[in-house]
Amino acid sequence: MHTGKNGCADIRVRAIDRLLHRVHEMANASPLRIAYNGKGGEFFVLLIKNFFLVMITLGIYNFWARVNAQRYMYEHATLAGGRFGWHATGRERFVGFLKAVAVFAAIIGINALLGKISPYLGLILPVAIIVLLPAIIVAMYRFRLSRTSFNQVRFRFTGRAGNLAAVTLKGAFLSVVTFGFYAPWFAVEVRRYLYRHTFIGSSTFDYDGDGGDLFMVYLKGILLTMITFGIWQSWLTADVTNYHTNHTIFQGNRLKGDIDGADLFVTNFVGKLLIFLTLGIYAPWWMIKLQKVMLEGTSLTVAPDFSQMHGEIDTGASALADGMADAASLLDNIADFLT
Amino acid sequence: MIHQTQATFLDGVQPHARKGRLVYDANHQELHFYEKPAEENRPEFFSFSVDKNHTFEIRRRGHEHVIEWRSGPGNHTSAMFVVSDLPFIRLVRDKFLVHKNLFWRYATLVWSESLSRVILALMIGTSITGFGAYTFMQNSYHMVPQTWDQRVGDQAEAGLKEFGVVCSSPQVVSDLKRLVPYFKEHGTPYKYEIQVVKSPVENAFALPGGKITVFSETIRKAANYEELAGILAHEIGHVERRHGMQQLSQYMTIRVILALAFGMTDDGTTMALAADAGALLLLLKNSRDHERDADAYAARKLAEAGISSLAIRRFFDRINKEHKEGLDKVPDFILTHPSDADRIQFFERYENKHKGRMLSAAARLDDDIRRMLPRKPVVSAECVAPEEDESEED
Repeated sequence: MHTGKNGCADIRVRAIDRLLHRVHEMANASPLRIAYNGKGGEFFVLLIKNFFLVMITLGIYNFWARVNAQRYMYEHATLAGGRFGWHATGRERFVGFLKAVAVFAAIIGINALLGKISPYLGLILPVAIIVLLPAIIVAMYRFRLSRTSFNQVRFRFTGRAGNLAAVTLKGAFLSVVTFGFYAPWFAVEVRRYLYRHTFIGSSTFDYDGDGGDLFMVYLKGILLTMITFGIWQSWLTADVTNYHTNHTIFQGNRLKGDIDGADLFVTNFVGKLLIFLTLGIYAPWWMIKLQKVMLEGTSLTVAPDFSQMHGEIDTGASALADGMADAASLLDNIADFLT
Repeated sequence: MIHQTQATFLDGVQPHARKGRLVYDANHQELHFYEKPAEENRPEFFSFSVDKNHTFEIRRRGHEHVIEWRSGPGNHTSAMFVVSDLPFIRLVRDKFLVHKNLFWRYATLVWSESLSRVILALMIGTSITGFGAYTFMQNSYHMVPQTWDQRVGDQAEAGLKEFGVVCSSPQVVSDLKRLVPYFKEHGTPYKYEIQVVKSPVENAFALPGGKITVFSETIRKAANYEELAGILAHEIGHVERRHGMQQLSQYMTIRVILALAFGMTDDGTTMALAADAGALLLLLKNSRDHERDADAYAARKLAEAGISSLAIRRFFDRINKEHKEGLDKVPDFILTHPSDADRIQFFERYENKHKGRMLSAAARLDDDIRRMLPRKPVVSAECVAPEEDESEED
């Protein structure tokens, strides 16, 4: 009797196991599509925790808080049996920020001294910062990619500031001359530069979008957005994102973007309504849902070749540039209040 | 007893996830990973071990836990085990994080398991820091030298244009100026100036450093100088007690904290808005305290000068009755105030308590002033504002 009951349970357990296995298989019917399984509730708890700790530490925890939120967003995205990850630490970001504050303080101090000597000398450093901007952007990009991973293998950015400066100077000049019409071509150039220097292992990305096509996507989208009093905005976002995804190449194979504008519209509309009705409490659920809609509209067309993705370590990435962005934003915020 | 569990291993170099068995070796305080080959019927083999000298991070990820550590110097590569066996994770945490800072160990413990402890820790932390920040906020203005008040006031003056045009009403101004010595503190560093602004709303305010602005409508509504004296004493109270500077340094403190907290998020604008709203919300209560404080100052100074507060009480009563129907039109210096009844009662109680002092001071009051007080103040024609057009009100 006893054994029989156990055996019976055993069979049932096995049947359930098989069923679960089937369900699992079906759910993973297309492993080449990104699956996002973040939960609004979990994200809500995380944000609340972050909020309190930021308050308790008078803002210092902010650096850790952003790492936690970012990591949650990345870690719940899976693709082809692998998982994305975010490995920055609050500590390194905080240290980077402190260093950047020291750098800024030195710059402002020296600048004040130079300005006393001659107003023209006072211009040197602001101009120098503008010239250094591409270097800061590249360093920031490099830091962020070196802290992003796929199945624990870190991404890598090999671009040089000089190349970006060349791209942006040309782009900015032509954009001004053409009253902004060059902007889509400019965006394409920047994207191509960034993708071509992004590696995971020895596999690289590429981008073959065309400024003219992108221009048409924008033109159509903006016109329709105006006609529909902004409703088309979601379709515009979806079209542009899909365009970029469809022209992204990984390991020689094209990615596929099929975000549905209607999905995006419903998510945003319902989300914003619920956020309003719940006085903001719904926000984490909305953020997760939005992330899901956006990421799950991205897939590979060919299974990735893992053998080409063995990690190479970039020891040169530093949090300083990221800290500079933080320090600049803080400076901006305070200046905004003072003026 | 052998502590072991199924685990997935990602070494940070190969993108392949390796399946196998994770074993805790109590003798050496190490974790051993035995990999199971993908091919069936092949025996598992020892593939990796990690000891407690590594900096571990253990955290929950959905329904599983990850044990992550830096596999090289710096944060350039990291490896992880993925485990879904909670008792095993607890064991590893106790064995491997024990040598870490007690606070962090406790913090990780608290976060991952007990909600009530999380709430308790948060509440204690919030109250300690909150109290510290509040104390700093309330007292930081002492660090600003008094000589700065004047400068701040001068800077703020530009904003006056929003309220109306400064106009000349020499009689009223000179009359009010004669009252100032009775209401200011002895040895005050502030130089008082009074000006009239042409405006259809009744209001009055004082800028740090001693510039007092009275709206022409207030003068028109006042039945006599005795009523204006109460308002003047109240405004001088704001200057002497440095309420403007307090507000400013409080606002600065909150803004800097909130800018640190929210200013650097990726979605800057919403957060900046939230930060602003937060700052305002926190300040509203304070400004009420300031009004009470200025009232207390005014009550004291009126009694010391020998002027009854009956007039100012009547003034409040009248203005408030007038504004009963349209709350939005209640002037600023009444709106942020404690309720009228409270205020009137406060003046009344103070006067009853110090009646003797008030009466003896009244006997010493200058004859000129005594004659001036019951007079109705007349604002110059230049300062009379056109009647407010109701339909244009928003």
